[in-house]
Amino acid sequence: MIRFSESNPSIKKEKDKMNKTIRRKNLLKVSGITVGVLALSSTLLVAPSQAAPATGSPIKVGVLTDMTGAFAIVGKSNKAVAQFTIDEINKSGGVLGHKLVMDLADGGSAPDVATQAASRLVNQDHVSMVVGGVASFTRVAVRGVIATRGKTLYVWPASYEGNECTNNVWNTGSAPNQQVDPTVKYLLAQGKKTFFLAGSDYLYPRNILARVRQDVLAGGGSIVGEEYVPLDMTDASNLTSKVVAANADALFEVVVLPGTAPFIKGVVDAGYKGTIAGTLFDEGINPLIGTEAQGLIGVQDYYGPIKDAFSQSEVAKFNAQHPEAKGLFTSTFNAPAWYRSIYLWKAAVEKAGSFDTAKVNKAMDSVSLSKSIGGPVGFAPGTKHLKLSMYLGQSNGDGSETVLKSLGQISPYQCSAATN
Amino acid sequence: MKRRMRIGIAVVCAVPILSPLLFLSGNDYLIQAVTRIFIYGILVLSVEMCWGQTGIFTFGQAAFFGFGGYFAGYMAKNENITDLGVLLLIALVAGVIAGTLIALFLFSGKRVGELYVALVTLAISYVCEKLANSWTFVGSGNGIPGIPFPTIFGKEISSSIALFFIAFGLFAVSMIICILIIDSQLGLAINAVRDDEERAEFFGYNRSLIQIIIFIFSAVLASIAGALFSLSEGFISPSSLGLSLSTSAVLWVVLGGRGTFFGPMIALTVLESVNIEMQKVLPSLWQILVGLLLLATMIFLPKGLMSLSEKNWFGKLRRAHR
Amino acid sequence: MSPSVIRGIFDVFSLTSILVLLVLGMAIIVGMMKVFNMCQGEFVLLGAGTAYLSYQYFGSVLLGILLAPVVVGFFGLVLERTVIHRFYANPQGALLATFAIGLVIRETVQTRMAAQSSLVPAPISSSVNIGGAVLPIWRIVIMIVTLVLALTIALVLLKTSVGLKIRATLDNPELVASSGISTKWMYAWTYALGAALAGFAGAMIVPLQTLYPNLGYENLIPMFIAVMIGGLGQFAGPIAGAALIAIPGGVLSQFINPVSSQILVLCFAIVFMRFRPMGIFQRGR
Repeated sequence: MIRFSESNPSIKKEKDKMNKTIRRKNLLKVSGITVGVLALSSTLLVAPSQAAPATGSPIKVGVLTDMTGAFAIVGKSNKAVAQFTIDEINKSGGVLGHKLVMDLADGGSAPDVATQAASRLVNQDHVSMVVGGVASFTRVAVRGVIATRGKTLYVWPASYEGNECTNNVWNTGSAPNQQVDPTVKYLLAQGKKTFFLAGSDYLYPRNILARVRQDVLAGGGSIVGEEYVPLDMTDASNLTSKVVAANADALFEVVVLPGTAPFIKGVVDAGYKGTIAGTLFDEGINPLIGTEAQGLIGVQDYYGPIKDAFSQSEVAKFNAQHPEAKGLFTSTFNAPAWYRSIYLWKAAVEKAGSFDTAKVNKAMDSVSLSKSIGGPVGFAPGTKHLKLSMYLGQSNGDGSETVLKSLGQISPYQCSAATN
Repeated sequence: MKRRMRIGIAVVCAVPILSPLLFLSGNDYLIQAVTRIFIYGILVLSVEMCWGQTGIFTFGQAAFFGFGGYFAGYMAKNENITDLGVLLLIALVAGVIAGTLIALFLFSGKRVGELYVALVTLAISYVCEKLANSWTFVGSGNGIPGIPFPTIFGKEISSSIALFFIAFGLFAVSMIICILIIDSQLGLAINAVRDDEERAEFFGYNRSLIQIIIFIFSAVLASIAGALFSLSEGFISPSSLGLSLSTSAVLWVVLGGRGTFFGPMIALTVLESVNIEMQKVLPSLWQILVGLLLLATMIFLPKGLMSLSEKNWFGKLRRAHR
Repeated sequence: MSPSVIRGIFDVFSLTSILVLLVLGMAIIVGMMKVFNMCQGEFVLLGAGTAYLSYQYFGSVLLGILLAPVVVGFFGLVLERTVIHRFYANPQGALLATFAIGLVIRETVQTRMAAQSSLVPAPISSSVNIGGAVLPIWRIVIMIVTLVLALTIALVLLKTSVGLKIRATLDNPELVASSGISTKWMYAWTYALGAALAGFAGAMIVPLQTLYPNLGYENLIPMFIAVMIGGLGQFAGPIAGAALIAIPGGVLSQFINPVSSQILVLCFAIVFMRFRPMGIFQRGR
């Protein structure tokens, strides 16, 4: 470039201004970078360190649930139940003399958000144990972070598709055989011969329906259709048409929120006359479906009307203390499982005499509660799952449930060599 | 040495000096968060090179990010290929192939409008996310969890500090390469294409070739960033392919100042740092604030926050960007 | 004809009419005004939300459907006068600014919604039996309403003086301004019309699904592609584009799963747009 700039005064003025602006720009850049670095460093100063609990100091319980996103209503229930349980434990002296305090993390109904939330609980807040997760994809995403890399106890409080046998992970929801087997048995006993299977396309529905298929075929029935829809499905008309066209005696569906209600409504409104069964029906989901919920069949570990005095009084206490979550203490929202998770962990800690994860992990295998919501529960040794009292229920159009039959305690078929 | 390179080297030196502060806290979660910032930094670089420097409005860069991430994650988990070098090479090749296909589709032959490019890349990102969400082979909605740690010469890299330095190292290398490109003759050419495609062609520059080369380069950067993401997080899901990450990348570039090179990285650092804190409190509120910030920026500071320094100068000397 | 075939054909028409209804507003704002309105989906969401709120507080979804275009149209009017008009000469800026607006609306709805998906029942929830196939009446209503609405707007745009003014303003604002018509307010009302149509569409279709924060955002890309395929510059293009996307998509869904068919159709559309960037009905600048 020819240097006019030195000779021509107006260009020189512009160049000076340019230099001044460049220097200002540099300053801005450097200060921007500094601000960024300082912002980060400041978070370090706030970050606490870990260590074993000093005598009497509060113990952090990691509560991981979905407060935002598709499962937010479940998260609302989970948070309230966790708080209720922790408060109750604290009132009776805490665990080994320590009070419990809840550390809530939002999984966002998405596995990537859940992973980061779990990492915060384990790697920054150093919680004593983590309970939570709503959907199976959350559990699968976070178990590595919590139980494997993080070496922290992880309790999974949801009825699900089974096969969770990772070390440090304990399951307090029902296993497929506890829900699916009795349901299919009932349907077959009612004379249903042909079955249509429908579910959302991820781990949980696929595995549940695989078990349904196994049970149906073993019981002499037949499968006339099996369809999966994406989780974010917006229009269920295609699936509805297929279901109606197939006209099976029974429809076993595992289409999860937010698709459950529109799908069932669509199917019933389109004239399907068969019986609809699933693993997710109770007082939590019924109101979302409306009048079309009449006649839905399912098996859960707890319903509102079950004849168990302990359950009735506990739930009444819950509704009184947590009006914001009134009516949300239901099995499909995992409320009973959350309750027993924290109590079972407490029992294990007391048995081990310590909060150390390895010791608690060993003790968990044989703890039980003589009184819990839904009935007594206990881990079936070697299976990492619970013996649960199950109930057969039918949904009503007004949102409530009718308990058809109390099925007694059912053992889980999971994880140990002698399972099917 | 030019100014940009000086600043770049300063950043590269500053981080290892400041990082012990971070490590001393023993807070793995924060170390991971900063590692993630470096990884996103590579993604931001790719958008800045593509859009800020060359004028290709790529609104779907996450598609390449996720593509690299899925490839590396799948290979590491299911094919037991965990060597870091090999995985990065795979991601690079994946980026080249995907980038070439799309670049040829978009830029060879007739000129296409900038907004068409934006819409197509956005649509590609959308389609990729939908595809990953429904394809059981790649885990559908679950994504690929439990991706093993990478290994170097057989030794597993599991410490968060080691992963931090790997991410930082790759970021530093990418940044230096980008600075070298921009400060070179090629850099002048790509800026020429950005400023006026037609005129650049009249001057004899092969617009088509330049756009294709830079697009592929950006795709490679994004792909490598994605591979690093899946290896250090141990997890990849369809959301790493889709609109939310694509638009975040564009957001960082717009807020930082498209074309200023360092602006987007600053915007990324500041926004992500605040994001990490806000995650605990009110994630939705933060998103709203970011949206409002973007809106305010578009109305009052169209050149991004960096242009606060240039307010007087722009009106007189530079022509406004199309 | 067997019932499942009847239902299949019905489903194709139903899906097409839904996409056309959604695209009507976009046809005006993106197609005619050429504003890359990334918050069009959120107008749909707001309309759906209006229907839901009307159902919650007044017990009537129908009232909500009638209110939605008014509420969302007004919102669009305010938005145009405050933000949108600044970006007419800056399509890229428009894209980003409207994206920001959409983000704010979406996240605000997200925080306001207690349950993440709320049911809004259709005003007529019964079905009719034709040839053995059970067809929901509400879907039939949507088909009829969409047809009537599209024709009405087309007629208004082509045959009335208001329509003439709108078209003239969008074609040649300087000339129109010198004729004494306030272009400022023509733009504002046209944008408001596009918003109102989107709001109406949202209120009409929400009974078929649930109300959730991403309701509009998820449909945004297919809507944009429909408009781009049809061609910018006039009203008929995007409508044709919507039909061109929905019909093959609907037919394919009968044979392969709906997600794959949508992906295929979108891919074809993208490739098609590359070789005919002005769309099917090419017109103008």
